[in-house]
Amino acid sequence: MNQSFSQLTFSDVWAVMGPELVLVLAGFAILLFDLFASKQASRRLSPYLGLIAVLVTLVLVILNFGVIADATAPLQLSNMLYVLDNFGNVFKLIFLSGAALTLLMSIDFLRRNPDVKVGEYTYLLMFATVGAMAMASAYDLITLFVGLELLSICSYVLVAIRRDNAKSSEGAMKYLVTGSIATALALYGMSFIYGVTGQTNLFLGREMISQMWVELKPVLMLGFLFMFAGFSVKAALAPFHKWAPDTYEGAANPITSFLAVVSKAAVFALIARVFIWGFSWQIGDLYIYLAAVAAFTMVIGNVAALTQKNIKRLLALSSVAQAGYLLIPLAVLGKGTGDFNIWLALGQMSFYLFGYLFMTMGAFAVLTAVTREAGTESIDAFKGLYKRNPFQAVAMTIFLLSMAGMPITAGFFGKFYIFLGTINTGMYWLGALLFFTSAIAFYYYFGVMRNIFASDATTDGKGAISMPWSLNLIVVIGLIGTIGLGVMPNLFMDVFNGFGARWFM
Amino acid sequence: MIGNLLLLILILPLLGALVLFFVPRDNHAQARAVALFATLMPLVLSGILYLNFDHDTTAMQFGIAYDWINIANVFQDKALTIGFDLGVDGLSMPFVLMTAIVSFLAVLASKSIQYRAKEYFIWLLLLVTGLFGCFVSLDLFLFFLFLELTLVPMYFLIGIWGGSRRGAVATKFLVYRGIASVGILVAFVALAFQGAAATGEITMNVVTLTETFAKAAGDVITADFKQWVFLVLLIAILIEEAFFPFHTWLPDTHEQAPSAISMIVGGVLMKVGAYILFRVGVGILPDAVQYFATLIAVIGVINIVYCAMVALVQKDWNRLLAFSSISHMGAVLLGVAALNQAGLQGGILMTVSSGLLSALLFFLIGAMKERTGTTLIPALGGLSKPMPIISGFLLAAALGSLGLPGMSQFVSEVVVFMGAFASFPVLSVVGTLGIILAAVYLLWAMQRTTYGPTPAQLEGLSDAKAIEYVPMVVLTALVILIGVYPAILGDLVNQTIQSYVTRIGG
Repeated sequence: MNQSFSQLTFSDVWAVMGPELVLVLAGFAILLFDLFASKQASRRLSPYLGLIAVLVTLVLVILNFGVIADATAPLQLSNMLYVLDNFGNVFKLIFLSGAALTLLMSIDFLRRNPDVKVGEYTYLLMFATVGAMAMASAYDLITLFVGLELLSICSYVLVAIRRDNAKSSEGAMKYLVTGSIATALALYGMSFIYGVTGQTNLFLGREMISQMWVELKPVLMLGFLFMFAGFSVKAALAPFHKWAPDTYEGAANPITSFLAVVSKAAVFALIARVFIWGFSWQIGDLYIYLAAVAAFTMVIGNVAALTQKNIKRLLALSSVAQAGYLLIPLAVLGKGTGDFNIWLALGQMSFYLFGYLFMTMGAFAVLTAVTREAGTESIDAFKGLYKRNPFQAVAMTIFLLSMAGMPITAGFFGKFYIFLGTINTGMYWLGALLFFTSAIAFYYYFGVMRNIFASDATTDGKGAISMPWSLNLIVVIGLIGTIGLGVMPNLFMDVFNGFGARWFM
Repeated sequence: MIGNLLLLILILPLLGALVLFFVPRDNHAQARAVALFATLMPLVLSGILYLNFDHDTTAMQFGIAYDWINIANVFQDKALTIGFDLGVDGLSMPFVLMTAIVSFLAVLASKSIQYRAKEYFIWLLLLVTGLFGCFVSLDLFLFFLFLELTLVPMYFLIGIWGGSRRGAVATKFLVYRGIASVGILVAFVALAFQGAAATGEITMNVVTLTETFAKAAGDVITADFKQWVFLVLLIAILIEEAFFPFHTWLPDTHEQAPSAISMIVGGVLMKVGAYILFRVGVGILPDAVQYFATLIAVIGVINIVYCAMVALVQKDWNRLLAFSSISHMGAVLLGVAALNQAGLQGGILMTVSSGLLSALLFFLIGAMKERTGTTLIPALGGLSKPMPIISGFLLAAALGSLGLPGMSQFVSEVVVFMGAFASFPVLSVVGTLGIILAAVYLLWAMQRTTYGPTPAQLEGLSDAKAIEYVPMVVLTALVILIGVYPAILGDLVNQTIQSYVTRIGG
């Protein structure tokens, strides 16, 4: 395993981080294309080029599953600095699917907002995705941090990309300030870990963490908590979620969905890697913090959403609540530390994230068309949607039902799947809270649905809302995913379950 | 064909809902025809089911079993296989029949729905699918899925076609029942894991779990565990069945819901909780039921007496009937607490009888409202003159409901209290007050509604039309049939109850 940088060959690098390389190079290519091509050509082609690059990367990631299955030794660079494993690959699948759908959603957004620089928008989105991918596939705290920063900095700019929009600037400013504090916190926490163990690599450092735990427990604990607090800001976990409604509201719809799906999933990959690897032997001491944050997040997210009248703020707080659900699989590891528990937890997280990806993307696609037509982001914009666009109305209803956790949707099964883990480990209260807060959430999800099916004098007689093909495509993909995962969850679960001991190599 | 009966019964309403999507929006007649057909077919099929039902076995019949979802690593390295397992036994059979009858009649009773009829029937058929699903599922996951499935259509049926406070009441319904579901799910999954701890294999199949819990030794599945799981389940059922102190959502729901939906709520939906109590409570956790018997009996008696007293002062027929049905269902709790053959059998009889009578009464009140425009008792009066038929049936239903001999309610009350007196003599005496109070509030309300001088604005109203005879006659006939020949229902449930009672004794 002793391998220094000088000995690395291109083929080594390609074998481990091929997809990332492709995406970075494609990003630079679009940057150059934007620089040299005519303005019009760049406007028209950039998002498509970006989409193609993301899809190619997606294919490479899928092919990598085969490579991992055939590998006899860990696929890694420089002493487990950067690895290619099933865990990272599953998350990359989520990021890239999310990025592809975001770009698809952007085509329409960019066409209608001529003042947004298309080339910049596209390559920033791609670089942000690369950052997310790094967060899912590094054991080294520094590499993880670089990934986090890459994702964050690109996201700050993307939120602010509508420069003449006051809300956009406000959201970006809040995101930037809180986000910077978060990264500082995380870095500070990492420095504690490094100070005690002398290692930045979790793979190599965890034995040291375990040995020093007895002696220097407070310092290590503090290090962990600082890191966790920093990550919590990024994942919008309560009580660090306050930026989310403003930023989600201010950002353009595609960017909001990117933040909600890709950015959040990336932070969960990071938390899972750090928690399961770095602190796997200390889970018994630490899980209670995760459980508390999960519980707090579910309650705060769902209660705060009750009074929201703006659909994007409502979905922002709903996504806060969903982050709480997603943290549960990790929290319950404290009471069941066996390998099977870890595999179950990883299966639960990945499944829920896939479901979350489909329902969130679909919902944002519908809401883009609806709020634009109505000229307002109030949930009243949905009034009478069923009469005007039955297909979009039914689709939106299914996405909302999935978020609420109603049967035969991905959200229902995902919650049930997570719930099984809580009962298995005897953390009944957390499982009960999961479904209890979901029942509270019915109030606001069904409030939107009632608007969809209500008849409204102001919109009666108006024609159908026009949906560009790209948004329709997202809705269809979202529907297939949401219902498919709800009715046939095994299609996905069997893939995770097949990994077994090979989640991490 | 016989083998797939249950699947057909379950799927036909769902197919009906799908077909309705393609019916033109303004063609109300066509929408109703589809809905009628989609509920008539399950009715016919459940008739065939009944004719082929073997009365002499406790085993599940007409079973269908497919593996559906396989979740790995759930219990150590064991996978949880969720089965699409359907079947009926003596306990679920009456509920399936009742769902089939009431849903068909509810569609008949929906003829006055002119506002967005197509959507109305889509939601109604989805609701019926969910209800059938609850009673034929053998897998607790599947059961829970169907139970949740009933929430969505109910929300819209109240929220769009309901009365003036429909929005708030729909939400109230949703949140109350949503929270009840939490307790039900926690209890179900806890049972599955505890069963797995005993056998090493995890399953949510209710038949397997019943056997596991019956066989497991006391140190594998502790009494402690059973007690708290049952307590969670009991609280959930109290909310689900709108028992005091969680009852406030039911009067609101009945007041605001369209009358056809009230028929389904009173006739079937409100019986799901009782079904869980029998199936899971008495079936899987009889020791815990026994442990909490006094508590259950006390809650039952409080509900019988308190809700009857509240019914006394109601000014709205719908609210009165809601409280009356809670009062009647209180007797079910008393019967369950008695934990003997008579008590349990009476409990099921009471559940069925209360369901049929609720459906009938809500239909009649709906028919009355269609003509008079109100369900407020003070605004009514002297209705026997303009509409003698409806008033006559209303009187029959009220008499049935207050326990006139020869009707189902009388038999149920006799059997329940026979069982209850054996275990809780004092409480039972208090409980019989409910019967007296029922006579008071029902007859008093009848008197104010149908007798006396007819107010001018109520004169000249039309009486029942031909199609309205169907629900009135069918439901009344069933109430009388059970009343004079209770064995028709008793024979169905006898074997299953017997097997429960034997286990409690042993």
